This record gives sequence, structure tokens and C-alpha cells, in this order.
Amino acid sequence: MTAPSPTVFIVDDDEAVRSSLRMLIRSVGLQARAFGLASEFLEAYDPDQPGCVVLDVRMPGMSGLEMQQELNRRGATVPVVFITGHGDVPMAVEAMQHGAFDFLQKPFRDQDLLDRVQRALERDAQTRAAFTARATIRERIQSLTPREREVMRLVTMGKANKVIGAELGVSQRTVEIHRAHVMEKMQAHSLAALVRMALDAQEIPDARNTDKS
Amino acid sequence: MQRPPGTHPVAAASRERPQSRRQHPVLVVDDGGAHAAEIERLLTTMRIPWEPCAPGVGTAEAVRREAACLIAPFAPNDDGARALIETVHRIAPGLAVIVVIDDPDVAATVAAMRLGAHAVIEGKALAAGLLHQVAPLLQND
Repeated sequence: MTAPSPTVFIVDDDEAVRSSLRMLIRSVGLQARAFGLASEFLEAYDPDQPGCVVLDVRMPGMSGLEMQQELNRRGATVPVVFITGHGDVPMAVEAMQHGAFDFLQKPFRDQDLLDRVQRALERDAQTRAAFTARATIRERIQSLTPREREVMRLVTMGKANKVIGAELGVSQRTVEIHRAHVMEKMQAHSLAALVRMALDAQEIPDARNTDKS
Repeated sequence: MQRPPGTHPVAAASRERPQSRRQHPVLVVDDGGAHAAEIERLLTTMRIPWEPCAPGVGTAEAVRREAACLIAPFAPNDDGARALIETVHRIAPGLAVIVVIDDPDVAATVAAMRLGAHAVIEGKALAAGLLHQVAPLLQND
């Protein structure tokens, strides 16, 4: 099954802006869908659809910032590029603090928007690829027996087979067999790869994210 | 010229206040400018503990200690914000950097935020914007 093509969702209450943005985005071969209200977009929003959102800040009803917060509440990762004719510093800060991908002030050059849209689509593709990879790793972890999972946890903590055997009350040879099964089921070609998988699946604490001491 | 915290009159005053719990201080990059002085005055007024640190190496040293956040004023068109944010994130990942700029446009604000600034405050809006950004970052031991 092929993944759906990315779509640029335009949410702006101004029909002229919607129309010109749709034309601009289609002119570079991208799919575009436009909505006049944030609520309309949210109703149609499908998290499995790759893409990005070009979102007006000021709209009747739900504002762009409120729509962004609703997307956050839903756990949506779709990148949002804000566009506004009335932008100021606090507004830009708030949007960026809530995870906006970018914030562009009208009037802008067509190419500036297209550049940002392309980068937003790249970000979305990266995020989706990372999710898929993580889901695959989690599936593999689910396929491990409880004992194999325990061995994996200890192996990825850097413990030697002998130490693991002593901790689990089994022989070193038994640990080696479990370890081989773990490597095979996880499709890990090296201990480093297994550690990376465990980190990505958050099976062990990530030293890269620890606070400063 | 950087004033050491012990001799800084406002910092000394902030340390004299009785506090039931120790709060991580806000670090203020003190370049001797008007914004730094205003930030320090506002923090003192709001009874938020703060410590000055010198720009450059002094800041890099200061962020090795526990802090609530770092506030750094910049002159217009000063491209030092990038270097500062990168340095802080390398030495103290997770420490929020609040950048104060005179009359920043939206593009400059977004650029700073994309670099990893926690917030950008306009120099002229310090009184209104400082507490709003700093308060959520304050932690008690």
C-alpha cells in the first residue's frame, strides 16, 4: 500500500487569500485543500494524512492560535505555518512556544511561503518516518518473551552475560541463548543497534536527554 | 565591566529577603546596558532571585550552575543571539534562554525562537512581558 501524497491544508477566512494560496501551492505540483473556518478543518482533519497546515492567525470563531492548541490537545504532529497581516512579537512567541513550525507576516513573497511549506512537509515526513520506525521496534519488543525482554533490558544497560546470569539466577549459557533470540527477533546486527532501538522505544533512559549535572 | 554578585547592590538586596524555599536564580547577562539594569530592577521588584553574569565566557561559566533561566539583552542587529543560544544549549541543555531585543520584527523573533530561544521580549515591553515569561520557569528546591 502506498502512502497518501502530502497535502497542504490552507485555513484562512479570506476567500481571495485561500484561492491565491491554493493556486500558488498547486503551481509547484503539491496538493492543496482550503478551509474557511478552523472548525471545518478540524472536522475534516485526518492524522494519517501527511501534510502541513498554512494557518491564518486571525479568523472569526476559533482563531488560528486556538486551532493550534486544539491540534496539540489531539496530539497532532502536523507542522503549522502561521500567516498573519497583524503579527506582533508576543503573538509570534506564543505561536512558536506552542510548536508552530513557522510564522510568516503578510505580505510575503510567494517563494518565501513555498520554501517554508517545503520545509514543513520535509519535517512531517521525518516525523512520520520516526513514528513508523518506533512502532516497528515496539512490535518487535512485543514479540519477546518476558525473560528475553528482561535480558534485553540488562544487555542494553551494558551488563555482561555473566552478571546478567547471576542477577536472573540462570547460567551464562542460558543468557547467551536468550541474548541470541533477542538479537534475532529485534533484527539487531550489533549491540549498538540494539541499544539504539531500546533508546528509540524508550525502553532504557536516554543519557542524551539527561539534565545537566 | 561585570559586577560580581556579592558586590551587586540589587543582587545583594535580593539575597537578603527571607525565603522559605530556595529558588533557582534567574541569570541575567549584564552587559552594562539599560536593558540589563531594567531587567534586574524588575526581577528585584518581583522578588525573584537573580544573579548577573558577564557576557561571553562569564555566561558560559554561569549556566553550569542550577538556574531558572537565562535572560540576555541584545542590541538591534546583534547576531550574538545565535552564538549565545547554541552555547547555552551545549553546556546546559534544557535551560530556557529569554532574549530581549530592541524593536525586533516578527522575522527576527521567529528566527530566535527557531534557534531555540524560549521567548523573545521587546525591550520596550519588558515590564509587561518579563514576569509572563519568567514565572512559569521558576522552580523551588
